[in-house]
Amino acid sequence: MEAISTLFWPTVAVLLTLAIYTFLWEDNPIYKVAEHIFTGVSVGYMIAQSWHNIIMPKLIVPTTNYFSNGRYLLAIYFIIGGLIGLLYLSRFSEKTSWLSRYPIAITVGFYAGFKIVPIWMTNVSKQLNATIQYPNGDSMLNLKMFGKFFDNPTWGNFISAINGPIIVIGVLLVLIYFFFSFSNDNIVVRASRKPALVVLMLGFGGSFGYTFMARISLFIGRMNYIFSDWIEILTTTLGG
Amino acid sequence: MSLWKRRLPLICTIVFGIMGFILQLVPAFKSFLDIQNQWMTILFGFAIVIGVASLTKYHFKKIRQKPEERIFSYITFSSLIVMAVATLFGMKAETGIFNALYKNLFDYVYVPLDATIFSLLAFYITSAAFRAFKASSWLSTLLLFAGGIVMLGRVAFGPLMVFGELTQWIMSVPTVAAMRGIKIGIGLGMMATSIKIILGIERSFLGGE
Repeated sequence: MEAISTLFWPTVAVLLTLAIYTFLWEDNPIYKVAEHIFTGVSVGYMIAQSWHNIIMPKLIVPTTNYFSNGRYLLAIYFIIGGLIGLLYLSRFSEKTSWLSRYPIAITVGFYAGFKIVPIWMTNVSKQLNATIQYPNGDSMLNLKMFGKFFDNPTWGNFISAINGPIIVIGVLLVLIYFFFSFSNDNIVVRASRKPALVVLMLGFGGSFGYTFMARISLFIGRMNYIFSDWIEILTTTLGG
Repeated sequence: MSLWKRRLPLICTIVFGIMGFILQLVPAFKSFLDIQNQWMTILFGFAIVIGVASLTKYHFKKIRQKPEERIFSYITFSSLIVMAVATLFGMKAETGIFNALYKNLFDYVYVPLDATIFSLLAFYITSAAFRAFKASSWLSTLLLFAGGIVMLGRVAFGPLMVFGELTQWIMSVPTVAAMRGIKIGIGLGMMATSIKIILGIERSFLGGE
C-alpha cells in the first residue's frame, strides 16, 4: 500500500507529461484530457491564489482592522472597492454584464494615468540614456576607443570600438524603420530600411535562439524527470 | 448613449485616470497612493471572475453544441473544482488531507503540465522557423544564422566556445539595438494610448453597444 502511495503521484506526473507529448504525433483524446485537466487546474489554482493573496490580505483583513481601529471611512472605502470588484460577477449573465464595465473602466483608467510616468522612465528615458552612454558614464560614441584600436590594432580593441556605434546606429535605424514604415520617399528613410532589417533580423534571430534553448531546457527537464527521477522511484519502490 | 451603460463608466475612467496621474506625480499624496494601490489590487483580485466566466460560458456552450466532446468539459470543471477546493483549504494549512492533496496536485499535476506544455513550444517554433526560413531571402537567412549561433553558443564547450563568444556579442549588441528600438516604440505607443484613454478618445475596452 505504501509502495502505491509513493509511486502514485510521480506516475501521474509521468503519464500527464507523455499525454501532452502525444500531440506531437497528432491531436488525440489523450492529449485533450491532459490539456483540459491543465486548464481546470490552472484556473482553480488562480481562484484560490486570488483568495489567499488578494481578497483576504488586501480586503477582508484590512477592512476588519480599520473597523476595529475606528477608521470607518477607510473601512467603507475598502468595502466599496470590494463591491465594485463583485460587479465582475455580472459577466455570468448577458442582461447584467454591462455592470462589469465599472471595475474595468476604473482599473483601465487608473493604470492608464498611473503608468504614464513609469513607462516614460523605463521604456523611453532610460533606454535613450543607455543608448547615449555606457553604465560607467562613458559615451557610446567614444572616439578614444578608436584611437586605442589604431594604437594597438587587435580584434578585441576593434570590437570594443565598434560596439557602441553599432548600438547607437542600430537603435536609430530601428526607430526610423518603425516610425516611417508607411510609404515614404525620403532618401534617409529609404536608405535606412535594409540596414534596419539587418539589425532587426539579427535581434530576432538572437531572441529566437534564446527562447528555443529555454524551451529545450524545459524539455530536457521533463525527460530527466521521467528517465532519471521517476525510474529511480520506480526501481526503489518496486525493488525494495 | 446610455448614462449608466456608457457615460458613467467613461467618467469613471477619466476621473480615475487623472487621479492615477496626479498620485504618481505628487509626493504629498504618497500615503493615499499606498491605500489606492491596495484598493486597486482588490479589483484585480476579482478580475479572475472574468476568466472563470468566459471558461464556464465556453464549456456550457460546448456541452450544448458538441455533446460528443462534453466529457472534456466535465474534466475541466471537475479539475477546476478539485484544485480550487484543495488550494483554498490546503494552501495555508500545515497538515491535513487538503494540504496533502494541494501539494500533490501542484507538484505532480500543475507543474509537470505547465513545463511540458511550454516545452512543447520548442517543437512548434522549430517547425514554424523551418517554414519561415524556407522563404529563403537573405534576410531570413540572417535570422537563421543568428538563431543557429545563439543555439550553439548556449551549449558551447571546448573548440566550439567561439560560438559562445559570438552569442555573447549577438545578444549584447545587435539584439540590444533591435530590442531597445522596439522598446522605445512600445513605450511611446503605450503613453499615447494611455493619454487617449484618459481623454476618453479610446473606448474600445468598454465593449460594444
